[in-house]
Amino acid sequence: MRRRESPGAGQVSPVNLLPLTPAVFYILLVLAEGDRHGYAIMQEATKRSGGALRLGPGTLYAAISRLLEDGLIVEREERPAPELDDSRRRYYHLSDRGSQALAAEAKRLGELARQARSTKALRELKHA
Amino acid sequence: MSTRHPGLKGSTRIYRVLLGLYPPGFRLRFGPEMLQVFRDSCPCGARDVRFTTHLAFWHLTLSDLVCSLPGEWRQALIRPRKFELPIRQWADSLVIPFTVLGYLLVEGNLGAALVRTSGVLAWVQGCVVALTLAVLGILISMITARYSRTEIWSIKLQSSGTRN
Repeated sequence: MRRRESPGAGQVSPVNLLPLTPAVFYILLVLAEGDRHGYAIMQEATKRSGGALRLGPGTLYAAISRLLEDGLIVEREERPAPELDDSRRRYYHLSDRGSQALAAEAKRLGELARQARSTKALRELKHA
Repeated sequence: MSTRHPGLKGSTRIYRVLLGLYPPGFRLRFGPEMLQVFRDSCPCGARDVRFTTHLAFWHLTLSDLVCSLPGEWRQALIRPRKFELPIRQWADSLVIPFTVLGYLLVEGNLGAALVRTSGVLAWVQGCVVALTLAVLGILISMITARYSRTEIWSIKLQSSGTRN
C-alpha cells in the first residue's frame, strides 16, 4: 500500500506531543480502527464521545493539518474500488508515530484517572 | 444528497465564501474537503427538518469557523506549514488593511492631513493613494499565487457523486 509520507515525520518524539487535545485524541482513536475520510472521522468521533465532541470542518481539518505535519497520520494514496471511490475525498491512515502517541496518551489518561480515583474526596463520593 | 436541492446549493455557496476567510495555503489544501464535509453534514437536503436543526447546524458551523480561523492565520503567518508559501500569506493578509487604509484616505481626512492639502485635490490624491495601495496588495497576492502554482479562490467541487 503506497502512502504519502508526511514531511514532519521523525522530527519530534510522539511523547513530546502530549497532552493531546480531545479532538486530536478522538481523531487518532478513530483512525486506529482503520483508514477514514474526513466526514467519517467526524461522525465516528461524535459517536464515540457520546455526542460530547462535535467537530466542525474547520476544527477537524485544522487538527488533521497538524497531525499530518507532525507525522502522526498520513494521507493514503491508494483509492478504494472505483465503484466505492469518491474522488473528492482523501483518506487518512494512522502512522506508527500516531500509534505511539495514541498509546502514550491513553496511558497518561489512565494514570490520571487512577490518581483521581485514589483521592480521598472521590472515594468518599463513591461510597456516599 | 443531491446538490440540486436549493437549500443545500445556497448553503454550500455561503460556506464556500466563508472558506475564503482561511489563509490561502490552508484553503487550497483543505478547502474542497471541508466543503464536501459541510455538504455531507448539512441538513438542508433532508426532508422534514425543523428550523431549530438548521439553526443548530449553522451555529456549530459558524462557531467552528470563528474558533479555527485565528489559529490558522497565526500558524500561516508565524510558522507556515510545508505547503504554504510565507510571502503569500503576508501578501494576502495585507489586502484587507490596504483596503481599509484606502477607505480612510478617501472617506476620512487622513489623506488631506497627510498631503497637507484640502478640497478636491486632497480627495483626488487620497483616491490615487488608496487605489495604488489596494492594487499593490492584490498584485502581490496574484504574483505570489502564480509562483506557488496555485489559484486564488479556487475552491470548486468536482462533479457531484454519492456519499460513501
